[in-house]
Amino acid sequence: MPEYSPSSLIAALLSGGKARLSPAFAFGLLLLAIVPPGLATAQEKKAPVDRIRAEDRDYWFFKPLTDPRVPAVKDAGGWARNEIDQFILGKLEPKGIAPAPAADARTLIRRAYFDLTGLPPSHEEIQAFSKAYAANPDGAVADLIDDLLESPQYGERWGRIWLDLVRYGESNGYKADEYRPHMWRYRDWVIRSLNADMPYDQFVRWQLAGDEIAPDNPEALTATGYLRLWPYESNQRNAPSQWNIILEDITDITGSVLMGVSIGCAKCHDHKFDPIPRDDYFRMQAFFTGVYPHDTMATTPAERAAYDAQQAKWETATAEIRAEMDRMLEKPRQSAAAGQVKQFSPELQALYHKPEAERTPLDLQIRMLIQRQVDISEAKADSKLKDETKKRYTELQEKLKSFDNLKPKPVNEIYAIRDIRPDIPPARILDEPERQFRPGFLTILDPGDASLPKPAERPKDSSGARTTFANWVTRADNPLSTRVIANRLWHYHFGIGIVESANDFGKQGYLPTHPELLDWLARRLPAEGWSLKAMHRLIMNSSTWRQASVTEPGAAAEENDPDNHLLWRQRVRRLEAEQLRDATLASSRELDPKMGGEGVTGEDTKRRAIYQRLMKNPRTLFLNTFDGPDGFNSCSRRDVTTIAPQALMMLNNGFLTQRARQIASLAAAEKDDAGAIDKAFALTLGRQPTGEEESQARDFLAIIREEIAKPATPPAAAPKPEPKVKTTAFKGFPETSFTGGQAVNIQPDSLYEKIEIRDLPRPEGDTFTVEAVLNLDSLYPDASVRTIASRWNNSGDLSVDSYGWSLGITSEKSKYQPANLIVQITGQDTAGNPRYEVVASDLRIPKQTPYYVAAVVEVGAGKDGGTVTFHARNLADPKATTQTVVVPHSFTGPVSLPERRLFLGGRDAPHHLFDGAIARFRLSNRALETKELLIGEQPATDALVDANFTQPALTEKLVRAEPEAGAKVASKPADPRLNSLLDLSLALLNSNEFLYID
Amino acid sequence: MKLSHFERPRSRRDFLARAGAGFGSVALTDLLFRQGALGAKATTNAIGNLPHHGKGKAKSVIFLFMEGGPSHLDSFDPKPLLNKLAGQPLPASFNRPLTAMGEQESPLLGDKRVWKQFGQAGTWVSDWLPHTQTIVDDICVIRSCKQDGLNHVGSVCQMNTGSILAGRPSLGAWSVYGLGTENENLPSFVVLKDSDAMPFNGTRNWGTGFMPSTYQGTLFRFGDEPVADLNNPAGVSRARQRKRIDFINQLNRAHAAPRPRQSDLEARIASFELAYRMQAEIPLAVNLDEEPQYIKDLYGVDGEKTDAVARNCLLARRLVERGVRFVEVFCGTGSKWDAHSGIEKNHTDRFAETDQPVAALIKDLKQRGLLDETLVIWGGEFGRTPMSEKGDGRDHNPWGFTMWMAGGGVKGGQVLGATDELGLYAVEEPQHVHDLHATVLHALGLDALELVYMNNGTEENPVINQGRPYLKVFG
Repeated sequence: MPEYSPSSLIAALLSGGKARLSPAFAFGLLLLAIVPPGLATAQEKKAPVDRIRAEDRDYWFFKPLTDPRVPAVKDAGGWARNEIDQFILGKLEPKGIAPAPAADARTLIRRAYFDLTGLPPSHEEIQAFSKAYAANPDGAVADLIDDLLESPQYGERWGRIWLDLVRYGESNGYKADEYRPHMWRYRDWVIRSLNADMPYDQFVRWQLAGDEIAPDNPEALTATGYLRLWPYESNQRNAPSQWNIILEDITDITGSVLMGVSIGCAKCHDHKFDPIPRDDYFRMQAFFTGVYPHDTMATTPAERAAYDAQQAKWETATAEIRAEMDRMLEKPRQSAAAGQVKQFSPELQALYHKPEAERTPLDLQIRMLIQRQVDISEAKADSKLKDETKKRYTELQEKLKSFDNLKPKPVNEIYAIRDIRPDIPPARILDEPERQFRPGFLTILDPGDASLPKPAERPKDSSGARTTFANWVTRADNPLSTRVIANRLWHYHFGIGIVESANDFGKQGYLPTHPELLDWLARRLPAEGWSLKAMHRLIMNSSTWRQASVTEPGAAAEENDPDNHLLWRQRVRRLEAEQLRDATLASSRELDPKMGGEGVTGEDTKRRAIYQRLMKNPRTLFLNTFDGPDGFNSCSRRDVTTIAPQALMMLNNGFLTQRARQIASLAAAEKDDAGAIDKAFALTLGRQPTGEEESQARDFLAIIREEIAKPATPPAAAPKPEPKVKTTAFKGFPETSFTGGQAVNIQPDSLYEKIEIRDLPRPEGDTFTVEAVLNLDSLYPDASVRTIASRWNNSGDLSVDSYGWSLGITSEKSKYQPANLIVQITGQDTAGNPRYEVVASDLRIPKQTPYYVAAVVEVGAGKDGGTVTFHARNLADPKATTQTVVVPHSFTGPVSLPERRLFLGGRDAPHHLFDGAIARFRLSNRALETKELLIGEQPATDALVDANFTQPALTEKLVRAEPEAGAKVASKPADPRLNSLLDLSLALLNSNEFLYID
Repeated sequence: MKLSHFERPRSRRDFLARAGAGFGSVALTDLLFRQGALGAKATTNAIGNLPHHGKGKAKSVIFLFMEGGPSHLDSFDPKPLLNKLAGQPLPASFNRPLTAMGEQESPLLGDKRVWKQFGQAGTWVSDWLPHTQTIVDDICVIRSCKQDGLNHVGSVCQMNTGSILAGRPSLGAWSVYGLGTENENLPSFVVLKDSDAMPFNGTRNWGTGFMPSTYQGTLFRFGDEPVADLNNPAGVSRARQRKRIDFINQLNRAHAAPRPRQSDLEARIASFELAYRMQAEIPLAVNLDEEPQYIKDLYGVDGEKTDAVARNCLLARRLVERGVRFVEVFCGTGSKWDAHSGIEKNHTDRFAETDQPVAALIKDLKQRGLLDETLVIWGGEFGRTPMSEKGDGRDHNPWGFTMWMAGGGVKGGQVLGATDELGLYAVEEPQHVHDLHATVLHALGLDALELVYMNNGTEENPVINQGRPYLKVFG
């Protein structure tokens, strides 16, 4: 095999070449990239510092920051407002290119809003600004920028940018993708800190080492959540490899985010293109090898003391109960733990069982990964209890619960980081454990080992290694990190950075278009006390930022810089996924401005997108469709793809239809079409329509009204698949005495969301019995109801039209407590008026347990209301008895309507779906006595519907209902005006003017 | 070299935007320029002037993914020694692997199959696959596959994306990136699954990782709306949707007029038209009622066990027929092949569900002349161990397992590679997932190492610099 000599090959490829991605260069990369890593070791025998060639030392990025002079420019037109403009002109003038004129007021305010808040300005704000701008352009712009920088939405926009970079997510990733319920506190910390204009160096230092720098400050501790964003696989048995992946993840991300180098490339061999010897990867990793996850509370010492005191009270009060429970669990726990540990390799088992005194810091870290799995097994140990012990244990659980009022609520739970011990392990190459590395900076900048703080200079439990790195990376003269952040600021105000590849300033990235300006900005930030807001002011008050983006290029621009690298005009940008979602909600005036808190689930939320729960898989609708970051890689620039699924979503998805409908109803309040059209334009585009647009819009309204008036023809969709109901074996209850052993599986978002029972126009009347055998899979995280069966449209109106009943189970946030078996009724009350009531049994139906449930609904007569008699029995427990409660209600008259359809697992309306299996359903048109129930001694035989999902004849009446996926909103044919305005509003939301920022 | 199809875009960004609109091929253009600049010859073939690196015959790929890991020891890789040693521990001469469930010392589990040889090559196939027995002359069995993952998460991820860690583009995405599409009215990468369950890792199996979402797979769902938001909202007729789009176009054209350089505005206008066409085309493509009864019977449509897989296999054929580049068919979605215990019952059911439809797919492609240009791959994320688990099951075996390929230039009637005497480790010509991926791409005429995408300053390729195509597969 020929001698491998990367340097000569690179030199040959690069001679005279620029680092832009030429084809020849790219091919060269390819040749190099396929050389197996092992071959590089001969080279690696040399000291790292000797492996950096002279020409690499000359690469601009690794050289000290220059102190460029602001260029003298002719500026005949008096265009320049500040130094930035002089730097820009300095490049344009020699090429004979003139900068573009300033954008108009509406464009400027829209650009400023999206740049600083991620939201569009309202029509009123645009009008006010335009007026101020006409009187005093500079003053108006300066005031606008000040106002926006002070608005709390600033932190939400720039927080999102930071979250992109650190690949923020609220779950573990991998298959299980467990939710991390406290991760959002880091997100809120980012937003809060940016709003407070925390100096950027402190912002970074706290994220890297807040626990060491300000150990008593809960904010600093929260900041270390940055080091907790790694993916984690909760059942990975190869603990050392997983730990290695975690350390690599921290190293790679920090290299990209703070230093602008693709240091990950030096993991397996010397960096092929940049002067980064392989050693540097591990020298840098060695700053982080001490990390240890620290799940704690971000509290002041006083808060903590109060919590501890209260906790102690609870512990004292419950000591006996818990001691007894512990005794009962001792053996099952031991065997669960032993079983779990045995799943690891013999080496790891040995590590786990090592005596405490012998454990090295690395042992402790790896043991922690094993222990997490052991903990999960131990937590399930109570399921092993049997018979009497189990009964006693359940009693004790109940007893323990009765002390819950004593138990303090955790305060500000966070995921933080601390060092495992002050003697942190060296960094190691996993399969070459003999090679170990002490902390050190990039060799090209500082070849020696980093000097870590002496014990007196650091907290006693910590190494100070991360603080050392944090101090270095936030030095005002650090040529890497200062340029990287200066470039990011530029990037988000101009669409592209001075260095286009914002996470890679190395040779594979792009060269800076304005190197002097970049260095000038990189020096300016620390000179401004690291105030990001000062930098926004500087950039946005420049003439460069204020330029129009839509402009005819002059001949010189066309000739010398057709791609606008030199910024002779502003750049048009497309809204990012979150901006688009927020902007549609802002247009319909529905945006909920509430800040902070746990991420909200559900696509329907009116909160800003940054507050949507962000699982690594699956992603939210907008993030998934409009190039959201993937949460695994640092995202320094959003992709901008234009694909048909985006058009489908924007035209057809229920979220958009809802917003358009809301805009339409605001517009419809105007007295005529002209007014309505004006209103729709004002809400969406923040301006009045032109005369031509007005007339086009009128024509469009007329066309749509004509379409709506046409008789409906079924859409040319594929012939519908057989709506047969599918059944599977009913789990957890082998008896087939009254289930038949089969069940329908009902699952939201699937084809089997709910099942319609056809051709039954209310034969059950107003006194009836509903029975079901079911196994519930999950509750909603909110207050929605898992509907078992219903005849109800759940419209929320109190009128005769909304009469109906529903048997269901409450969810997590219900005010009737979760898992409560309830009947909801809208019907006629004792006074003869329509009334809505929740009749709650307080019988709890646990998840994943086969259960029999029944509700006997009886309406009253005259002045007396009626009752619902609930029955429930746990079928998994052969000894369980039937629980029965009678709950009064105030209905005397009809409690449903014949036109409402009867559904299993849902309602005659969207949402409130069941999730799980139903193995039997029976509906009788009278109040069954207890003995006549399915579980009674003499079951009734005269039911209206009795389905156990094994008899084919019966299933013909059962029809799979249309899935609600995307919650399609039906247009009401009755209102052509509203619907045509809906279409107009939807079209405006789909306009490029809405989607792009000039 | 003159290629009238591809006018060099003004800038890379312009091109990205333009290509995105029509599911075009960015890699292709990059490759063209690269090769042009290097003076290499770009060959063209009949498939719309695409330059092929190799001699690939395949235009499309159908990946039949048996999720959970089918046992090679009970299907394609008989081991007489296994039955001889059944009940005993793994002989000392074998390296103890770290098994997923930790039962390294459990006794070997014999197989209960009746084995016979079929076809020209005498390919061994067990009695669990009576239909596959009839197509062995069209398939190339590779008995020496291996991969790095040990559990499902890592292994399914690697079989789909090349890496056991999330964040990389899937093989389908790379294929589309490399070759673009042939039917603008359909997604170029379609994913089908046989139940409401999601496979391990969910949508990431057909995601694009660091590449733009243009190349991602589109999951077709059962039922009336095969693609998310494909149908108009209730009450909106196709005519009304047309009028809506016309009006949007009117607004967007007026907006684009003073912005002639902003090509993504044009792309967006085109994307609405494409969406509108997809709304018409996809329901037709998925309409299996167009198929004659004898074809449905061939696949086992409406069969008690075969129905779901049969529909997907038939749909896969209809899709490649219409120019879809990559179809991934998950069978046993949600890891249903994962027979840690009771493998007899489990695999009896799984093969009963898949054997007939899979064999029908090969026959049907062949009788239509589509097999030559369609590469079909069968396999799971790994195989299963010769050691038993929980008495009557088998654990994960990523060290040696079987996959097969057919069509797209593959020489059928072959059995390549081998595992050791107990089927634990691949020993002859081991084929890592990277090699398998390189082989698939080779069949498509793409060189896995030259198919490059720039990400954060790193040149990425589908095989992480490692795979080599297994050329013997092609004879």
